[in-house]
Amino acid sequence: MSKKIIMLILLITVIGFKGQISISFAEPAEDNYKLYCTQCHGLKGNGNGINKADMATTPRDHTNLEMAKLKDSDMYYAISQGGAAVSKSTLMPAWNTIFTDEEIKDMVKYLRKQCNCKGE
Amino acid sequence: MRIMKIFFLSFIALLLVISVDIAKAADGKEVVEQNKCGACHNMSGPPAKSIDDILNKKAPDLFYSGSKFQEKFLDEFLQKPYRLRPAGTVYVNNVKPGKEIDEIQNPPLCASKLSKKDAEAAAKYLMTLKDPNMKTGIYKAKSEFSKTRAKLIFFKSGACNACHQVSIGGNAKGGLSGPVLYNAGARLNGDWVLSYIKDPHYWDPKVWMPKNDVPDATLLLLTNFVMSMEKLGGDNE
Repeated sequence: MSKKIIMLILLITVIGFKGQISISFAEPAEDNYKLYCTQCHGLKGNGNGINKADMATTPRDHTNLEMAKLKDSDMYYAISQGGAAVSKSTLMPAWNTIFTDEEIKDMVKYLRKQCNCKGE
Repeated sequence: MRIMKIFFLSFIALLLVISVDIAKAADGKEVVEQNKCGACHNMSGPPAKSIDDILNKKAPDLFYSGSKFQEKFLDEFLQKPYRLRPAGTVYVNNVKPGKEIDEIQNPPLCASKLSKKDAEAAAKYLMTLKDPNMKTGIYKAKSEFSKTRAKLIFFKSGACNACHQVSIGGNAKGGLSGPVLYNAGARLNGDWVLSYIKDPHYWDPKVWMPKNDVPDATLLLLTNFVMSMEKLGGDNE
């Protein structure tokens, strides 16, 4: 009986502690897009973000069918490592310090919905 | 004997200055509370840890304002606030889709308009709110650095101007989703700038500024460059 109580206390302590130190969790792709991507790619994903005016390279229009030319793996890599890693603009930063692996995969799926296209 | 007297008097004078500062900081806390700064600013931490939380943010966090700001800036800003974030605290809350470019919709401005006396006291108090873990003494004001190299990183590889405005040809140029940087050197603490560039998510876990995985020497170079910008009207390019 006392062993069970000790186990229960330990379990509650571990769960409680884990809850306290848990500082990040996966966010839905739509929310991640809204907060991190629309500043350049625009609220409608058409490349019209508020930062566009003074940019040397126009942000990509995610609703354009040109997106179909990109493989999912290219998109994953560009989001994760940034534009320079895929020989594109350095204006696109690497987001792997904010997004988890799963969040980037979800973002690729979300972008496919935006362009309504499949990758090559 | 005379030296001892001078030493003793200097010590008393120092104590008096410190006590006046402590008294002003205590008054400042009252000013901050009376003016309900905490209704918009997070005065006690922790920072927003989810997108939902960050979208509900009304004003910048102030619970580490003593690590982040310069007292003179706070003192002046609290008397006469002006816009430092072109699209407001959380840009996405103040934007609507536009034809050529998304449009910023009158973001709210800090409501503080304190008297000289209250602003001085509030600034003193805000300077006491520090992050005990921030490394200090790394940034040395007015240090020599390669501006050419710093500009290459700031404008090219780091593309910091994609989100931040700097002064080019006397005008504010650059992105609008982050705070302006053209007066960073007169506003921010260099050690905080360095720490923030190194890991913005330590300070604000969900902020839309990406973390820069760069060597310490590059961080210091960028910090020196950012801190060299003191006002709008010069040329940072």
